[in-house]
Amino acid sequence: MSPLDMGWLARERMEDLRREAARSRLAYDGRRARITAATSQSLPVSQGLRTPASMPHSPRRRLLAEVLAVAVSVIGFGLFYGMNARAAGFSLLELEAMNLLVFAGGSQLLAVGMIGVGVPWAWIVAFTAVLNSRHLAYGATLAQWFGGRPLRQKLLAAHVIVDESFALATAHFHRLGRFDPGGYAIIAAMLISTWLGSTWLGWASATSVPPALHASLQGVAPAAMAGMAVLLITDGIALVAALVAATVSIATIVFAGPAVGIVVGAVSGSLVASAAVRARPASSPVGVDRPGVQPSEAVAPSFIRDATR
Amino acid sequence: MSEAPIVVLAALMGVVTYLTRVVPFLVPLGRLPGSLLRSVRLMGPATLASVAAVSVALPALEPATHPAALASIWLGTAVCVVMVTLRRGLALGIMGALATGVLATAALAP
Repeated sequence: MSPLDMGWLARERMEDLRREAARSRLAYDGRRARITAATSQSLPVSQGLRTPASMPHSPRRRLLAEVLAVAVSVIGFGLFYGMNARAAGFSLLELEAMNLLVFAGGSQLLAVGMIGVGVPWAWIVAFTAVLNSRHLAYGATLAQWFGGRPLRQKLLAAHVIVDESFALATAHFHRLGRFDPGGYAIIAAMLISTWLGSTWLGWASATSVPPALHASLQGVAPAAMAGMAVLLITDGIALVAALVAATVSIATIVFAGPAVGIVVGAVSGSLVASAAVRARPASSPVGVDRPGVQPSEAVAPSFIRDATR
Repeated sequence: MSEAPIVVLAALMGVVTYLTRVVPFLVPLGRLPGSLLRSVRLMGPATLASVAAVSVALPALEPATHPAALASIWLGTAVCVVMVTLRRGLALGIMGALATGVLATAALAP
């Protein structure tokens, strides 16, 4: 090969490299534009937080900001739950055992309330399964991001699926366009540490609460239950379920006691509302199938979408 | 109540909760049927509303309940429901319920 040919080949190679660089740049710009559009328009958790324009370069920094915002609400709920658990007679061992084994604040608070009115364990476990069955939808969405990961990692990651981790993780993965084990670890570490710490603090400070404030706290547990029910009411059918459940349960406790009242009320509310749905004309399904809706937006409870606003 | 039973209950709750979390990772569920998701979604508000209603109504059926406690429970729950409905934030609703309870106790307690 002559020097001339070698020079020509070198120039050709340089042109190839320039074209490759230009293609990479275009691909990078396109991907960045898509991520910016997704974070500013589609993803619920990003709404109301600092805009992509102010934090464009670090999805991790953005994740940390969201994690801290959610941590505040977790701490508040943890303090409250810890106090209620102490009032229900939980020891520190029992408190932390339930925290670690269940790791689902709503169902834990529900269990404390049910233990207080003497609901049998079988029903408490059944209600826990029902209330937490929404994790099936969360897991189905998150599992797509965990494709190809080791089984051990999946088994560990599954234990920290809650409303908050689901919303934070799916938003973060969508922003990146890929799975991020470090980001998921940050979310998990924050949730576990704040939940364990805040519930312990609530449990420990429960005895130092002044008697007048303690009397005032009696109304907070039912209020929290009602508030959580309101947050889960996202349409008329859910409202029907809640109203029927409340009415039937109150009517039932007069002659059958609180435990039976809760069970009969909850089942009646769900059945009546489901029957009402079947009686209505077909509409778009609830869940992940609606076109144009991000999975996290479709199945995440509204309080997750609002927690970071 | 001894510690063992609550820990056993926690373990049982943990098992059923973990199953709901891990099954989608082990078994490809694909797209969940709308009817299943709807039933799951409706049981949540129904159960919580049921527990809240019983917690609110039960003290009224017990003659020993002090009017201050009753007012704290009823008014606190009402305030929380209104605030959560308007602001869609649980923390604010709980704070409202607590403030209402403090006021009711101060006004009605002996």
